[in-house]
Amino acid sequence: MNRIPFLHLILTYTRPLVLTIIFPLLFICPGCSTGPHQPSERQQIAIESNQRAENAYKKRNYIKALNHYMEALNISRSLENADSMGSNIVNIAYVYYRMGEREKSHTYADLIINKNPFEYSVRYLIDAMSIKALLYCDESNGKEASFWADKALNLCQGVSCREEGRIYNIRARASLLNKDIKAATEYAKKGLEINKKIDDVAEMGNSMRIMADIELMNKNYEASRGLYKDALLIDKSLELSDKMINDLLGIAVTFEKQGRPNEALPYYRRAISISEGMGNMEMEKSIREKIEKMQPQKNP
Amino acid sequence: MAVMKETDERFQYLSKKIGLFVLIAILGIAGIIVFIGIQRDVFTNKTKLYFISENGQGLNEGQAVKLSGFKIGKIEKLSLDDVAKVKVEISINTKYMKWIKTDSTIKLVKEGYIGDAVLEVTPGSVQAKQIPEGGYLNFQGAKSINEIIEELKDDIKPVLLDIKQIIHYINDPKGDVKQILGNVNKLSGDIQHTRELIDTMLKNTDKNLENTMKKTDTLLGSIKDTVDTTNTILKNVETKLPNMLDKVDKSLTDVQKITDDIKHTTSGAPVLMDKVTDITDDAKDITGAVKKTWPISSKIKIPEEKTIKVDSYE
Repeated sequence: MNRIPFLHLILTYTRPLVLTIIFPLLFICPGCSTGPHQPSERQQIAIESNQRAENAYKKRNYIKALNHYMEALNISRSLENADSMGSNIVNIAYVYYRMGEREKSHTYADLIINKNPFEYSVRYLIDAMSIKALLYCDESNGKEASFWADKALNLCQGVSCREEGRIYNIRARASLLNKDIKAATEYAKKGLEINKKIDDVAEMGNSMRIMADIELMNKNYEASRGLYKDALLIDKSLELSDKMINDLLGIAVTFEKQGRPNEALPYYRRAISISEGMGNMEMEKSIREKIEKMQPQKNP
Repeated sequence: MAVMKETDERFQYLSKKIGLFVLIAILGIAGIIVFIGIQRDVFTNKTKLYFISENGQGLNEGQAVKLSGFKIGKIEKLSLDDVAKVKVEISINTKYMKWIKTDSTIKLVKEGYIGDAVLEVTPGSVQAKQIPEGGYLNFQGAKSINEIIEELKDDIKPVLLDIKQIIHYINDPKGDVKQILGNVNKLSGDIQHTRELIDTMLKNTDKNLENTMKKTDTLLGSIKDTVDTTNTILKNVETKLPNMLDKVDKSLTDVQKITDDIKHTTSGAPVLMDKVTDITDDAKDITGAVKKTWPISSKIKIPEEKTIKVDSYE
């Protein structure tokens, strides 16, 4: 009776199996063949330009990055793709800021803030306001920098905002420019706390550097040096050469202020070495000048 | 209750059914093998021929041999002979042997800029006899880039020499051109001098008409001389210039011919570029289609525009 039960089982269940599973799958799978929504051909070109620009930006080729971002912006403008436009305008404003072209950077950031030609997403608005605040920090205009940082912070309150810690850092820098050390300390601490929470390591380094700057202004050299060293560790791990130079110079200055130039010298030399590696001759020259101006240490 | 019955109708003649199934499968496999064999000319009669090449560059075992664009055989074996030349054994489908004559040649040609070279057999003359099995074909190697450049150099060299000669001829201070120019220059000087004389004469007309008349006679004589000289020079120019122009014309024709040759030689480049572009586009399309296909599509992240992260301390 049970001579070939397995074969019997297969024959018995094959038909229902085919009818209930395999047959419907034949109809479902063509549906599977369509992947998630793909961007249009022109939008694809804009995306490619955006990616090329990003690569150029990473290589510090700002002119090339600008050209590609402009190309991407033109395409997205012709398609009236607000999201893509917002992203590219913010990028252009930021690249101009990095190039030191402040006016142009202001112009592009204003496009977002003035809703030109229409309203952009809040995240781009926050970015544009942050760039404005940074521009005013560079211009040593603490009042305007505080104004834009506060506006950005207000916008951040309403939405889930990853930029909050970064904006607190900018706000702290603005307060330092206003010589309001107490407020600067509070903002920097708040920034550090938020950046730690969201694990934004680069901004954590920035918070520490700002706090180190504040301690230096308060003449708490040991505390300042400790913070610079912490920031240096982070910046080194993220391979942020510019910031590494800032940290090393900060450490060197703390030693110098304590009348210990011999201990400051190795840090200056490290900063020179990094500048040489980056090909930043201007920075290298200015550090050498600092060394020359340094008072020789008196033997005890 | 039993699920199965030994007398179930579906199991009647089961062994025969399985046997039939296996037989059909075996026949199918055999059929496929035979089909592939036919496709690959395994069952075709072949005749072996040979040719000798200076080197084995561009020759590979299995490389196609073609006659008027038809594949008629392939390279079977490559070996070095006693004098270190490459002996190439080719097998030709016997049915095509009637076109391969004792005066047929074989050469290595490229069908396109991309891809392998093939061996092209030229059909021999009608009067010649069919080449026997094991016979040797006359091989013509493909021209290397160096050889093409050498040929081009040989073509350009005489033209450059002509141009050099013409320039030398024009620059030669004792040559006709320089002398003609010198004479024309002198003539200009004479005319200028004549004009100055006329000016002086006209100023003094009132004072001494008679003297002026005499001077005018002298002057007219001088002008006559000058005109005679000019005539001589112009005759000289008339005689020499056509020869010179002929030489220049000949050289320009040569240059034009070489330009045309170069143009012809490089005319394939745009076509090649078009082909490459087409291939790239095709590859892009295929990649795009594959990317969109499930389940690959679910693994591929859709590209999106990125915003640079604004840094608070740059």
